[in-house]
Amino acid sequence: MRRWTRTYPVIAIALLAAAAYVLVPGTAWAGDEGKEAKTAKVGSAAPDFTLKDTDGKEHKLSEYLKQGKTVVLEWFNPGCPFILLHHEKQTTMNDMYTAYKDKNVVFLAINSTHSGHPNYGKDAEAKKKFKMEYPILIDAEGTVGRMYGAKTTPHMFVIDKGGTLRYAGAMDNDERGKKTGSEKVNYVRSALDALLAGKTVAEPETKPYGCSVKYKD
Amino acid sequence: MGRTGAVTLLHRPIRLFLVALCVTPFFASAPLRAGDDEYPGNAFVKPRLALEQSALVPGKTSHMAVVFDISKGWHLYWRNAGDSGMPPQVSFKLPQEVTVGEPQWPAPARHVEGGMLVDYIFEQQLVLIYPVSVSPQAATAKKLSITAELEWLVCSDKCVPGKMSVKSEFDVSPSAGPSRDAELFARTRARHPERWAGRSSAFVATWRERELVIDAPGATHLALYPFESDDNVYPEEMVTAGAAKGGRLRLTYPESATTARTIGGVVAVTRGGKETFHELRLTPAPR
Repeated sequence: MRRWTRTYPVIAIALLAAAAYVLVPGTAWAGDEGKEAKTAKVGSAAPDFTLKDTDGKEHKLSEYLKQGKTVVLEWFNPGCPFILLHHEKQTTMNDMYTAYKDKNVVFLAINSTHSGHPNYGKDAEAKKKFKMEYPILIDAEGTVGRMYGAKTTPHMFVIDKGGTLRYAGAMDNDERGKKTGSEKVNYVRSALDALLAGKTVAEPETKPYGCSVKYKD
Repeated sequence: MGRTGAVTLLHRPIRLFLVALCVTPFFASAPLRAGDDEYPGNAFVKPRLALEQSALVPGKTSHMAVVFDISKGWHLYWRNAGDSGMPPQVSFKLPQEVTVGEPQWPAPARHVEGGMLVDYIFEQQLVLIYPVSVSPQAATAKKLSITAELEWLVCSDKCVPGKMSVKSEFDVSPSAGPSRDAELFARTRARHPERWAGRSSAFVATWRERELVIDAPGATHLALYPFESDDNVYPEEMVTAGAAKGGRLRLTYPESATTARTIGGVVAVTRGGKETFHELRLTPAPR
């Protein structure tokens, strides 16, 4: 009896630890180690993650942050017309990549489409077709997507070099892709410009637009 | 692509086609396709124009509908698409004797995906009803031609864009009876929300700090379809909080809602097995 009372807490702790490992993958937090949060929140530490790209190469958010990078995440699905809008019809993303790649900014596309979906597995082809010079990370389980609360493709996130999420929302104010000149505001560029100038992001959250992220049910 | 560019590139062939059609009455009611390769969504939505009455009557206002018939398994979006998607866009080319007002949207259905997001959608059919006024000067006309230029995003497990022009030649007559589409108008109106008159006959809404509570005693189900907002004023956690069994719905809004001019949406109330729809518009009082 006495031996069991000693053993129970040990088993309970082991079970809890196993449950935490299974249920909350990526419990480490990029900019604020030790603190736990279930989902990303603007103004708080961005949850850390490790995902493989289309070439099988691993990308870890906290590694980029250690290098002093500002990180842009783009939720991605090459079969979505809004992704085509920003990668084909307009070259929003490639233009942005070119403008910021030498300013210590890293771009990561993340595809959370589940493996049973007809659009799954087309990222390598899309990377070539869209002439993307930044990686597309595969998140078929949707773990990272759910952690960030990614709802649409595209859904954009900007993380400052200290690991704090500073912008979450739409690419711009032009979901129909018809605005021009000063009428059009690219929120990601505005956020990057503010952060690189050491300023506060004026519009830290907007409502994203696009196709739904095709999560595994 | 800019608005001007898009119009120039895409509409010029349509305009030329329209001119060609004017001298070819046989095709006068055919939808004009804007290139099915660029718009694969044209395969899943069949749009048309319909009148509630058998003819347009000079000096009177009647109702016209844009009817979108949607293929099985696909959906279009409400005026507020929700977390993803996009509402269809409609613009008219009208003869000078005709004016068209704002559309009335029927109540949509909730569509939750992956437990993560909620959209407001229409399956099978979407009917947008517009008031259409004809000036007395149209009395000498036998027919009036109305063209609707339509763009949409249609989704199943994937999304594709559609774009089409539909043109109809409507009879002009000093009087008119119900058209063969009159029943469609009646059926659609059953899903039009009751207008907000400062209060609702179906529920009581209370705003406290950032919380909206909708009480409808005796109801078995409640849902809120929030209106679109440019000010990021949108209730949080709509996947779980946007609909509930029973007679109470509690919704928490973001901090920015406290300074909004109005918040609101359409409340769907189920009582005695019957669902009715009611507008809700509130000015949130600051704390």
